[in-house]
Amino acid sequence: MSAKNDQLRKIARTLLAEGKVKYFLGNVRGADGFSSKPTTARTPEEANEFVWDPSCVNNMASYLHEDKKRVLKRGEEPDTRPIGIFVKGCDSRSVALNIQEHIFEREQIYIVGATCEGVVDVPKLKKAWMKRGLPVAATNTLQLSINGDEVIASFDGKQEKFAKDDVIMQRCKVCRYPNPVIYDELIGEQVEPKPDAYPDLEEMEAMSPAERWAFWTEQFSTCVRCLACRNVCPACYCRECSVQRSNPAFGPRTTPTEKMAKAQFSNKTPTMEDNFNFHMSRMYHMTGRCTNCGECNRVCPVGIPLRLLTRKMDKDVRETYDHESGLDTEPKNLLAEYDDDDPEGGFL
Amino acid sequence: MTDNNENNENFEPKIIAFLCTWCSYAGADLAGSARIQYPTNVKIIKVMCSSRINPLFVLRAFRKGADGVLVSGCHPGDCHYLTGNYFTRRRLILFKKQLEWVGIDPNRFHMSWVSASEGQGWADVVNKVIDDVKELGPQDEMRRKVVE
Ligand code: SF4
Ligand code: SF4
Ligand code: SF4
Repeated sequence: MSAKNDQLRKIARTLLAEGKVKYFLGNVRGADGFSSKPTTARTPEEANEFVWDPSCVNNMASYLHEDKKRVLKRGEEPDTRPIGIFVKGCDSRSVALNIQEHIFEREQIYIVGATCEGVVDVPKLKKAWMKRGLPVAATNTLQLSINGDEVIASFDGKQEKFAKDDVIMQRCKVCRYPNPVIYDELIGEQVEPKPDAYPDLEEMEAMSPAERWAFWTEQFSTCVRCLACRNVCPACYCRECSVQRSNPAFGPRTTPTEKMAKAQFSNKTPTMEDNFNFHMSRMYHMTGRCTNCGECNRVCPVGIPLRLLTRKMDKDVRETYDHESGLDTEPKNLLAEYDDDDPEGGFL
Repeated sequence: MTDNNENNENFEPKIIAFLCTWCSYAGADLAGSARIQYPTNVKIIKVMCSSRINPLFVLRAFRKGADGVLVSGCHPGDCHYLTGNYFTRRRLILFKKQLEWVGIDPNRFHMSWVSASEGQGWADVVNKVIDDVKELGPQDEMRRKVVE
């Protein structure tokens, strides 16, 4: 086992054994060998399963919200101990965002940060694996690591090397915060951030509006509105989502205020027009809050490149208002603040 | 939908305008009482403040078949609630950029500042919006289509 794994396990074990955290959120090896899956550890033994390697794609900050949903049993005292969480660089920004927006207070989360050289895009790795005709059974003992420009997969004492650019997540190629922005404990050496540029947007920026519309029509019309992109997002925590009203019933006594609060902005049928509304709503709600963790892009079952939307938003916000969310724990919210000297673009 | 949409020559756009009650609506009112002529394509929805306009309202208007949407409020610094339109400004500028990014023509969606004393200003804004939207033709992209 690698030193990083041991370090994470030791920290988590100690925290749980001393009762400093109520539980610890981290990754364990997934059933298919390649991927890892998010887990809650409540005992030191469970913490022994944790892994920290390039397969840890999950943003654990998304699972913090589960804590808010738990209903106490009758007579149960609330557990005020902090939640332990394992974060990479990008995840730490999501946690910071939740603290900025007062969903959690800083003391309520115990952050174990890890500097990160990138995580693998599991489907891409699987494909490369199959292409080379490597044994599927070997994935039981598979261990991944990153060394310079290579992703090294070791199994059964053998080693297989993949070019980093081929199998790594797209978000890692442009990652500007590989080192956690907030943490209580840190694993690993500082990593050099990628340059501040948007190479992934260039292709779209060169398109004409009509071409862009054609592109997005094609993409949005394939959306099945499974809402996975919303559920996984660490910045989406509304009890009732504006695109999925849970109780839209109107009665004779429904007041206009209630009707207003329950307005249905997009119908449930996944038609192109409603999908368009859904995606624009989601994009707008993420403006100035999205930390570009890329989770929405990863989980989409039909492969809609949602990162093209979130990255563009990030670029706009930074260019126009020089704002970036989730860099520290100071309360800061782009759309809930203003400046007299804000640019006056486009008003007649 | 209507015959108008078939033929761009006689196309009369439907414009939904969200106006704040204190400045822009009063401005439109003044245009009326001063008998300033302007086209009737604009359907006005009065809201208390321009910051009440959720950008999702704009999307909804488009989905229901608006050819163009206009949002108008008091000039920055003149807001009846002191700061409302500063929030509007941030929101709508970013929202408009997002619409452009997915390929919606920026001329479909307009924002303006019209004060209560600017009857002529209101008529000018309306004329400009209508000209722009007429040039684009009927909005068919975001309109909800009913499949038979
Ligand atoms: S985006 Fe950065 S911090 Fe996140 S997984 Fe990739 S390299 Fe690591
Ligand atoms: S995850 Fe993909 S298919 Fe599901 S709602 Fe989001 S964009 Fe649509
Ligand atoms: S990249 Fe996607 S999942 Fe991550 S914060 Fe932004 S919208 Fe949410």
